[in-house]
Amino acid sequence: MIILKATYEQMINVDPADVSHLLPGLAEKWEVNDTSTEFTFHLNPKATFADGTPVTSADVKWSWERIANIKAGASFMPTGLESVETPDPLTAIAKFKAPNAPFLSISAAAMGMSIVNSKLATAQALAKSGPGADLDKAAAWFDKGNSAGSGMYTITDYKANESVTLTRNEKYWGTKAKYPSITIKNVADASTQLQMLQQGDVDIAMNIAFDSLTQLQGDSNIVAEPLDSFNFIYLNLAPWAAGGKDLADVKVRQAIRLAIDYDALLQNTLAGHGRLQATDIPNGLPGTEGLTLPAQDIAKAKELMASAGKSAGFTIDAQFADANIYNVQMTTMYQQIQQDLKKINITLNLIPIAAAKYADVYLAKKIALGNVYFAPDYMDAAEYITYFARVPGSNRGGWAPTGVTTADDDTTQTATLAKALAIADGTKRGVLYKEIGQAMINDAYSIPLLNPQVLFAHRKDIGGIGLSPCCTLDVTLLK
Amino acid sequence: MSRYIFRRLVAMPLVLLGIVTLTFFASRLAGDPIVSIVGLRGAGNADTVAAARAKWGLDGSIIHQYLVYLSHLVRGDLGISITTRQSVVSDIARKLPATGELAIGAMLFGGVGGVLLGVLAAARKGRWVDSVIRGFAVAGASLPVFWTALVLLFFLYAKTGWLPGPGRLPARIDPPLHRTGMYTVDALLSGNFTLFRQTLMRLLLPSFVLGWALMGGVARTVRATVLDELHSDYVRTARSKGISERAVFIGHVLRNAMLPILTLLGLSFASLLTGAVLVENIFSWNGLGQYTVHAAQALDYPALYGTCMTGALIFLTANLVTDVLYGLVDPKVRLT
Repeated sequence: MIILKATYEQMINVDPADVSHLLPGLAEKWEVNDTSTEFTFHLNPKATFADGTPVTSADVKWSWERIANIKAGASFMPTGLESVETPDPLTAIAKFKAPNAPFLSISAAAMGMSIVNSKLATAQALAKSGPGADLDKAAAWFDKGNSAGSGMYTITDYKANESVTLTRNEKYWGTKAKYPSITIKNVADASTQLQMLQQGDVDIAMNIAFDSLTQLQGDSNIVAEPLDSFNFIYLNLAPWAAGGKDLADVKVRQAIRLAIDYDALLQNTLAGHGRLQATDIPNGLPGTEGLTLPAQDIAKAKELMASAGKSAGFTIDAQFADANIYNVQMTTMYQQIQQDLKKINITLNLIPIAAAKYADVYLAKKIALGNVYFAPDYMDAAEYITYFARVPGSNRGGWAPTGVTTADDDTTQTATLAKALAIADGTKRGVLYKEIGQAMINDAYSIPLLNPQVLFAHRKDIGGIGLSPCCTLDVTLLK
Repeated sequence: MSRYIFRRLVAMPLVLLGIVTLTFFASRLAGDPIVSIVGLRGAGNADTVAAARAKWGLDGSIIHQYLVYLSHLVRGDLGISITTRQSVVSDIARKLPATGELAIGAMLFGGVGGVLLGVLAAARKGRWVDSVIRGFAVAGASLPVFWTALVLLFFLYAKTGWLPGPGRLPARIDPPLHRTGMYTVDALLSGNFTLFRQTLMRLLLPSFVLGWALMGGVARTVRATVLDELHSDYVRTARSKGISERAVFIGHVLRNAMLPILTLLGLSFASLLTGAVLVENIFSWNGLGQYTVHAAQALDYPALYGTCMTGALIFLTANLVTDVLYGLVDPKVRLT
């Protein structure tokens, strides 16, 4: 993502300081129709690709249609896109059948929505855009480290999984990048990264463990600050999976939510370097402000268990990836949850599963109690609501088999979402998202546990470092 | 002897086939690589999954996939790695020299150093030199390499800056023109002596860490074998014939002591080439070990099969070379 953001651009940018605020990108301005079904983008006439050719509406159409047709991991980004019209070279109109107000935020995502130099990609990579694009052989050209974007940098050296050298695009159409060249190296070991940073062999380290924080804070040449992130870890309760029938009662799920000691969890897993999160929408996205954070209340949890007729409790398997995710050791996390749930007579059998194998079990919907983890692909709560809430098309975070959830869909949540998707104003949309956010808390199918911070450490003479909403670190902002 | 070598070479493809077959079917029990290809979210979408399966040849039956793999293998095509999206052959060709350089460095420390220390210890048996060497050897063999690596890096690089840090090259330096892929050799071949010195210095610490672990075993074996031989009858006979102590030692004792050491070194070299994962990780040394571990974690089957086969080939070759050397060193061994 870092490389993508440095070499390609999007129509719109998200303001890192306030993700509901959109800034011009390749498009200098844009309009949305009353029903949020048509999005008109006016390209900046100065915008050019790295090879000097101007960025036109034809490139926009080509890029977005290609991602929709390529059937790749990012193909869900422009879901619902009916057509991209190009009345003139500087105007592109994206049309949707149904209202899709979050599309402005979606169009700001580097993943999938970047604008590609269609002439170059067609000529060099033989890339196609229309139906059948999934069968073209363009990947071979791109996988060699070639790029076809308009970004501030171009790739000049690419060794897969080892290193990438980005060189300043001297023909960049806007303000040129500060650094002539940036090398990104894959250094697997966190303590090695730390040593290289302290010795001055690298300028920025992005994978440092929190326990080295005190060591770094004593070094006057280095700035190390934990940054709030949009990542979160949640516990999922899936009554649909084998062994999950005890979770079918919403009171049981709410009791589990109330039984967990969240503050202790945050201390034990992340030494406090993170936040709690109210609902299945990352902190900081519109729709999350003002929701009550989860807190332990054993008395209330016991009450709920009693009224569900489960005072005696039950035994259930917790299947989780034997891994460290966002600096959280899953085993440690589950051991604490196991202790907490014992207080309401629920016995958790901890079943760690090899990380590589876990996805298989998850996709087979065989986990009644477990977790995966998410980072947003674009800065709008709709991504989470359409994935987690009780609305049509959502399979409850991927835990429920397709189809069985239809009867479980909620009419109020569905109607609120439909209303929200038609409101172009992000803040107003957020008010409705918040209602669904509260409904997700009440449903308790998934219980957000932690919103971990990330730790970037860097030499003190480098500025502009922050967690990019789209791409971990936006190197084009470095000063 | 040439007939013997020929027979062994002919048997090699059969052994390799066995290994490929075993790896292929055993690894498939580990899971489905689809998430590595399209991500967790994409894996929930039937269209995306179907397209990815077709593209990566994961759509047929496992027997069909196996036969397709073999037919490509015969043509020297190991497929495309799922994680690096490069051809596995080119990946291995790039990673192997890095590990090779490290393994050779480690052999110099561990093999040559181990033999010298072992001989010295045997010759000075019971004196302080012997004790120091034995202590050093035991430490090398028993300290875990990741610990030695981290501690030595901490003191010799992070604290004092006496030695350069991790990585095969200084951060802002381009690699030398590709000839062998071993940076030290390539730097020398292109006449760039500054770069040669830089790459050699960077090789020093990881080679020592790997070599020290090996040195322990080698030095102890050499010491024990040499001491054994020193007390055997032929040595007494040689001495009684008035041959100088030095000639007895080099010409008789060492030559006989070499046999078990050869076996140890041959197999050690092979395991260095295939098992330097921890050291590669800590020293950010982009070699075969790191590549294999990544491949296994991501269920990157093409890469995994490729590395397993490379490893097997290395072991087979090392075994063969050891056996041939046996014949050369020991006149009693006749290879037929």
